[in-house]
Amino acid sequence: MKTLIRILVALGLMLTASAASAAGGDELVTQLGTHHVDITARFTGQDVLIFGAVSQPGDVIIKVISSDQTVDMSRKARYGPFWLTSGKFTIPGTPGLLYVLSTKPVADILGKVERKRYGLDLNDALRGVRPENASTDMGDWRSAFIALKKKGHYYLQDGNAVKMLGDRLFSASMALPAKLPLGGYHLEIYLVRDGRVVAEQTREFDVREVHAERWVSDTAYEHSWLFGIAFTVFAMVLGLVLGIVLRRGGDD
Amino acid sequence: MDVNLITIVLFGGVVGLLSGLVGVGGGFLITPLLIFIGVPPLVAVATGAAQIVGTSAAGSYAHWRLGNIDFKMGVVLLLGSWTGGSAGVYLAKILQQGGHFGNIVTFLYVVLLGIVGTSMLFESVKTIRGRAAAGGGAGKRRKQGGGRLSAAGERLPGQMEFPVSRLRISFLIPLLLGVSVGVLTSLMGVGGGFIMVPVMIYMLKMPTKVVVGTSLFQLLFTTAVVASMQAGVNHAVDPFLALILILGSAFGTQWGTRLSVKLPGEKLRLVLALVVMAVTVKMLVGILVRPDELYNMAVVVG
Repeated sequence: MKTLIRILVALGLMLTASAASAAGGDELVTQLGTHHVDITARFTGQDVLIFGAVSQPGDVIIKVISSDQTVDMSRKARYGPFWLTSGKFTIPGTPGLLYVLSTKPVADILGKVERKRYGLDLNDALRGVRPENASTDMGDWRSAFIALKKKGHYYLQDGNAVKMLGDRLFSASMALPAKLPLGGYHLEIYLVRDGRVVAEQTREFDVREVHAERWVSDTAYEHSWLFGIAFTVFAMVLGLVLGIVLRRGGDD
Repeated sequence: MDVNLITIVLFGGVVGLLSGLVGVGGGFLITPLLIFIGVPPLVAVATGAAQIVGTSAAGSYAHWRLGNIDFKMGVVLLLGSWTGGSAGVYLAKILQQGGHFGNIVTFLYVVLLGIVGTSMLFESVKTIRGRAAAGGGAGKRRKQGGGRLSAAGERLPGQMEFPVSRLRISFLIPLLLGVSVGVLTSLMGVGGGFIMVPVMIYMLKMPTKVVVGTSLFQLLFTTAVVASMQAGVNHAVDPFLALILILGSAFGTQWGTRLSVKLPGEKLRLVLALVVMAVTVKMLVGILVRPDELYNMAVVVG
């Protein structure tokens, strides 16, 4: 399987490289290794490959952003001898996953204004985001949010993740974590030369839950009462059958 | 579900093993263990209740076949526990919205497990030590407490005859017992057998055989209603998690039952008491020590 992927990558690179030179004016050509990621019950994360070619040497930045998420955050505080949850608040419209991958640290190749313009700083990820129904003092929740996202491998800034092969071809592999936000993922690929973005491209891929898993979790949410009763009856029958079968097995 | 599959199977298995060995439900261990590995408290509690439905079904059926269930008593208990359980589910919803459900669950567990663990520890140490001096004072003390409750039960209005349990008592007593067990089921994800059984045996003086059958019967249908409601009202039952736990504990229980024949019962009780104490201490440390991570994050939509 690995070898097959390598061959495909090499083939893809050759194709894109020739496309780049054929097109002449096009500075940047890219290709994604896959157009969708299927989440099954056994999904433990997936590597998504992106590769491409540039017409002239330069630095490449790849930004991956998932659809928006609403998250609940809670904070612990000290009450007498106890550390207790002091309340929670809801934050709508946060990027579920945000990767900024590049050939060199972004801060070294782009100025602050440019970075802000293209949203290439993780610390800017929550710009314009406002928490709802906050009841208590939330402290510095933005830093905590980004730290937690980084810890879970949902936010990532890596200035070494995009590899140049020679001075025309590049490739990057994104190791997506196990519990992925669903929906459309948007990729922005930038070619940077002399502190300026000289070319950009966008790509999309889809993360979706498949088959039974999707159906079960959808039903569980949309028809919560029906699901609750059906699952309970199922649990009862399963327990009964297991009990009888296992006991009988033990007697023999 | 971002928790390790193998860990959960193992938990189900170990808790099932313990319940097979010692004969306790084990719901009061599953929920804290799930919380320890990062399952949100409300999901842990609701899924714990769903798991008990699966694990108590076979036992209830067996006792029904043996005629050990006092259905009249069971129905009165269920009327109480369904009321208490429903109220508990909505209470859980309110607490969850304010972000305090986790705190409440932790405190309830520290208190409850502390009491259960300590009494089990004393009991098993006493049995191991005092097997030579058989008897002991425990029986006397219980008789006094039980006497008071039955006396109160005789004075209360709404006297009712429970022929299978050979008991005449106000229906208010089992009704209230049911209510409190129901609330515990929805707030803690436990079956409540550890309260129900001692009260029935020592305070109501029901025949032990009937106690076990009847408490299993009410436990099955209490957790069934509470689990359905937790899913309906709070979206809190994780089907995959519950399924794995049911499978794990079904196998664990069988192993435990077979092993228990070969192993000394008093020492096993001591082991279980120590496990319960360890879980209590871990929960207590969890709220006494400054956490590494002050913030917690959970995805609501997306």
